[in-house]
Amino acid sequence: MLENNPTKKRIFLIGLVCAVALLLGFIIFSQWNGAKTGPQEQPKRSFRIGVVSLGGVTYAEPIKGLKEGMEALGYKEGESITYHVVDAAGSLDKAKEGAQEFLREQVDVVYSLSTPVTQRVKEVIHDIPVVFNIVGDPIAPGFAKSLGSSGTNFTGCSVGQFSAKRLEILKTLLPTASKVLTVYDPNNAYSQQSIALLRDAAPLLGVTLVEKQIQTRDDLVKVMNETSAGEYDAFLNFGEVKVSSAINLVVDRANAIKLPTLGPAKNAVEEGMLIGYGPSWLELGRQCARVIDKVLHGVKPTDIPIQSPAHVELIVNTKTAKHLGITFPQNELIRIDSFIE
Amino acid sequence: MRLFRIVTLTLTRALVFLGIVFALTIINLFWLLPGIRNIRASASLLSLEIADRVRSNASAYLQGMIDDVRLGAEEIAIDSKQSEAVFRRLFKVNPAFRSIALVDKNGNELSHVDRFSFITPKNFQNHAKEAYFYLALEGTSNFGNVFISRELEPQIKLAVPVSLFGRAEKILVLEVNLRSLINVISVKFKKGEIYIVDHEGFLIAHEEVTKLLSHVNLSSRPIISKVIFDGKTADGLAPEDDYINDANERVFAVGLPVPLFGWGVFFEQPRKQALGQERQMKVFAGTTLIGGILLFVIVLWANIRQAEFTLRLRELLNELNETAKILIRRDLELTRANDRLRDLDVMKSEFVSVAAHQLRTPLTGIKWAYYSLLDKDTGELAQGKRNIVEEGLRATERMIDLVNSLLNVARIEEGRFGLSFKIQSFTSFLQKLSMPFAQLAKDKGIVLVVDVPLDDPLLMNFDEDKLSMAIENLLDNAVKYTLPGGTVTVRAALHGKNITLDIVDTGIGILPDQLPRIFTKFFRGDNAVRLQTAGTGLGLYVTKNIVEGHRGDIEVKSEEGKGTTFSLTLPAASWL
Repeated sequence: MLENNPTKKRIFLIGLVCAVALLLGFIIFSQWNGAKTGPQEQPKRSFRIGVVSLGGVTYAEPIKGLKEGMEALGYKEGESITYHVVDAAGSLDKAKEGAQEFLREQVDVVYSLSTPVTQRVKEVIHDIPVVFNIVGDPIAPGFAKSLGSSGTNFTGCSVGQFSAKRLEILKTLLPTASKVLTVYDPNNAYSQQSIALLRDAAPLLGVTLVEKQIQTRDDLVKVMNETSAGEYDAFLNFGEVKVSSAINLVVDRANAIKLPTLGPAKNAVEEGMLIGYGPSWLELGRQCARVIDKVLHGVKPTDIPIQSPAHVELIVNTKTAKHLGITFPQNELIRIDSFIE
Repeated sequence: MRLFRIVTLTLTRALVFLGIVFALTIINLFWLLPGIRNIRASASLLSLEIADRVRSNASAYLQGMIDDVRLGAEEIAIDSKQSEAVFRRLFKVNPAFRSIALVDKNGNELSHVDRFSFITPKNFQNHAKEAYFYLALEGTSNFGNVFISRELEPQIKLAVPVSLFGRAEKILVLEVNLRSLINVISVKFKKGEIYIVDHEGFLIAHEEVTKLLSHVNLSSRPIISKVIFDGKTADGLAPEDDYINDANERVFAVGLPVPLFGWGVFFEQPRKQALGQERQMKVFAGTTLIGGILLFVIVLWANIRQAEFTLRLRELLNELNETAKILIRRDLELTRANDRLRDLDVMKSEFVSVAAHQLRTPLTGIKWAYYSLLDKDTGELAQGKRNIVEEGLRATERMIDLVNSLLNVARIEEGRFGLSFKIQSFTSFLQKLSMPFAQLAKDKGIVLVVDVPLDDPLLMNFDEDKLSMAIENLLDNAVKYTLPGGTVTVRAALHGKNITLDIVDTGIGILPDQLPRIFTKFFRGDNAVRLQTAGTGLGLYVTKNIVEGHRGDIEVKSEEGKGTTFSLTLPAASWL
């Protein structure tokens, strides 16, 4: 029918081509539309995060948590994200130098661990977003005006204030402990706050709190070396930065003189500390990863509320307990969340 | 008229076009609207299922809390010394419990343990003014209103009576962190959010912690009011269920009330995703509509083109028809005229033939009479008289030549100019033919050169008499029109399958504008006429016909004042 009529043939062909083109267009549009509503991909550019801490095995946890959290959010280290990690090895001056390096490199975000380190970062960095972690109270040092909105280029995760609670836990698990040693840096606002709370709690718990001031790592070494066996019933790290950054030193000496220890962070317990009580620093690192992700997507730090820990855990090192000859009260064992050999 | 037709046609087509568009639109709507309704209904159903699942999970979770605490309360009711152990166990079983307080019937805390803080008696609170306290005193476990902790987390009080029967003497008051609801509302889907708001519209549960900690109030969304304040289900199909979320996305949302608390559970998805199929359907409908219109336009356009083409074709055919009629008429007239001319021509030829025949006989007689006089058959003639007789003889011979030429022309035109072919030597033929002309040329002071291949006979199949006539014409002209001192060259050669004969003179030449006419009847060149030479103007016509009768060809090249070359090409013997 079409062979003898070229006009009809032409019409048919044009119509066929139009129909096919429209159909293809519809299919492509549908697929593109579907693709647009697919899962959000991470931005294609590569980001640089400056990480600064006082170092030590304890502060490795929130850094590890950060990297795990970022990877879970789709950031591949070396491709979409690189970390410039500054281990200040216990020196706040080095921490400040690290912040200056970040400023020169114009990193996308600074991740700072602990209150004193974040204070040094605050002295140097004013425009780059800073996400802090392992900070007890972000308002007193001026990192934020309120937990809901910092009003600054800072936001992050608060580690909470568990000082008095830790003393309570210590007394609960070690009922006979009556003389407890603790060290603190008087220049650290968080330490000052913690010591005040401990001073209030100690008599109520029937504990004599022995306070020693330190300002440097050498001071800490001196205090520990000068502590003799049996002098105290326990050593409490309420969360003092200088102790946390040198926990191995403290734990090794304490275990040597059979002095029970209690502090924050699970990995300190893994390193030999007797009891750990507080939020998981690994989990806090992951929490901060979600905050950093928001910042990298353009959300201002002041629009991101400061987060507190969702959970706390009570961990005991059974090997250390055995070494120290400690038996915990049976009815209190239920409190313990996990035992580490 | 034509303009009117065009306008009418255009209007008609426009109306038809609009009609087709309307019809296509109606047809599309016929399946599109129900389709869209179905898609929206499906999306609503699916979303409500998800929201309901979350609501159930949240309710079960909270109910589970009540059950756990109630068990503990019963233990304390049995033995108040178990309170610490109960507290420890409750903290262990549910990480959401932030603090537990044992409260007396006056609302004073008897003991208070906090998961995060060390609580001393000076931190104890009084709950006497709280509604949950009184409800619990009446024996009803209940939740209080949501409040925000110092850490900005949504929390709620849970009050459970400590009694075995009757009115409670003590109450367990727990602070529960609602952040744990994140686990309850986490549902795996492509893109979308589940959230819970309290009875005032504050966000109390959301998968994203930062949003949760923002403590944002969403009661400005009509869907929130509908669910929280009116206690209705929002199925996403009503206009007020639509809103733009804080990510500036238009969302499809559903909401279910949680009557026990006065909360609302909401599930929102980007509208594009939830109703993606609707969009696709609309696009498809639009595509088919456009496609249909396009196709129609193409067909219409082609139709219009064809109609115009047909119209034009018809007009052309009509013109052609008229032209054909005219041509047929003219052809008929021409045929008739041609027939008449043919008849006239035949008559003319016959006349010429008869006249020539009739003239030749007396002319021949006259010629012989002159010869007789000159041959002294009637005696000696005085010189004066002799001259007159010689003149008469020459005139008679010219007349006879003319008559013979006319006869030849008549025979050619009648087709009676027969040729009798015989294979013979063209070389010998030319040599014999040239001889009388050699003398003529010599008498005139002209050099006649005969250039023929002596070793090649140049065999050709030809009519000796007729070809002689033809070549003698050419030689006669060459000698006649060459002035004394000139040259006439006769050159023959074999070129491939043909024998070529060139007769070249250095005579007066032929004017260039007259060259095309030299082979026509009675033509004589102007310069030949000026030379006052005798000639009928028929010789070259006869020569051409004879050459063509031999399947040959004759050409002429000439330059006035310099000479003329006649070139004959005749097939050699083996090629005829």
